[in-house]
Amino acid sequence: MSRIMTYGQAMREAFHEEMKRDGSVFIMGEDMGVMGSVFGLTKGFLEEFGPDRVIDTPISENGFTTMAVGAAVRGLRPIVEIMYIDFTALCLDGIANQAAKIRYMSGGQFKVPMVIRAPGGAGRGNAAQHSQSLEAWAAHVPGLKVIAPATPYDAKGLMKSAIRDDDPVMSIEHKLIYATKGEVPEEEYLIPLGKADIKRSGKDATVIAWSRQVLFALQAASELAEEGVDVEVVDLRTLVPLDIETIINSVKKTHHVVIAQEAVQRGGYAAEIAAQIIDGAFEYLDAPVKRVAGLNVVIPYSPAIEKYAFPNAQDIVNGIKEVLR
Amino acid sequence: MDKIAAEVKAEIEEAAEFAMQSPYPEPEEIRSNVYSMDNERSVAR
Repeated sequence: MSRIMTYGQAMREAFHEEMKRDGSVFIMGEDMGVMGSVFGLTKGFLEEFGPDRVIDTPISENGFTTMAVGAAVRGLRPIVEIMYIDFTALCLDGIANQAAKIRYMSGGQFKVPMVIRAPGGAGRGNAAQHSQSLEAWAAHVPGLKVIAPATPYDAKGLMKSAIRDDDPVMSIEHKLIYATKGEVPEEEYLIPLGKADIKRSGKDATVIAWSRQVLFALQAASELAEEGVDVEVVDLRTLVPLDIETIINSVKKTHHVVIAQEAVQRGGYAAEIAAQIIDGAFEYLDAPVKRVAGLNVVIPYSPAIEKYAFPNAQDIVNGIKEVLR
Repeated sequence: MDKIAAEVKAEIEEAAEFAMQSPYPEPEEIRSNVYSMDNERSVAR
């Protein structure tokens, strides 16, 4: 049996189930308690779990992120929200130099089982410092795992796995998909980290995407189906570890690849995927790998031009037509 | 304070001596303990 629920509700359910299951799981971040988070994901948690497990923090990202690292080393399982991924710039030491390194530097004597949630993405008129897509920062750091679910089903299953994981996991969550709806089973389930999902099967071209771009890719595929073009959509779901097998198998089938990312193109994760496709399936390609990505610009405040800063379904359609030309 | 300082100094010296007497790591250890499980895969990808 399943229900229809929003991405945000599904993620909330993941937190709730894991906090009920495991007393070492706790939540920490700005406005996570009394307010129930900016996106309403922890409403009622403070009353249910109390202030020791639902902690409102000061506006001090490096302070509370690094406190969570210490808590994780000592045996707890913190879920930390960085209210906007842009603010990870303030706590990169805690994430990249502490959480990601402690297992290695202690020769495996300590583990850091924590989840760092980072809502991000543009399209809400939140302007330059509250709209970025910075998953490539996290993916670049050995020691971190990175998830970027696109659907309510995946959000819940991946979040539960991330909470149970013994490594630090960064969860990339696009702000504009919290309200999207989808089926979520009533019974418990987990989705393993590192496993992509073919959201739509096709034979003419592959679109590889994650987070909100998966939704645009599916729109693009539906539109092109009316023109007789059969598009496969590969939702990575996890960026690190990358499910390169699923990608390569799709490339071998379709011979044409578009990689869609909202982040600015330069230095983005799409470039890493393109390089791995070249390494693993160059002889199967009938056209160069195409990146459909954000412009190398600061996200504008004005809605009149913000929409041009990142790709939408039409941009993906155009990209697919380009590789099929 | 002197007693604590002496204890700390002794512990550091013991750890340093242990390190100096230990063999260098084998090349394959470079991939160890970056991640907990499925270590090789996460390191490779």
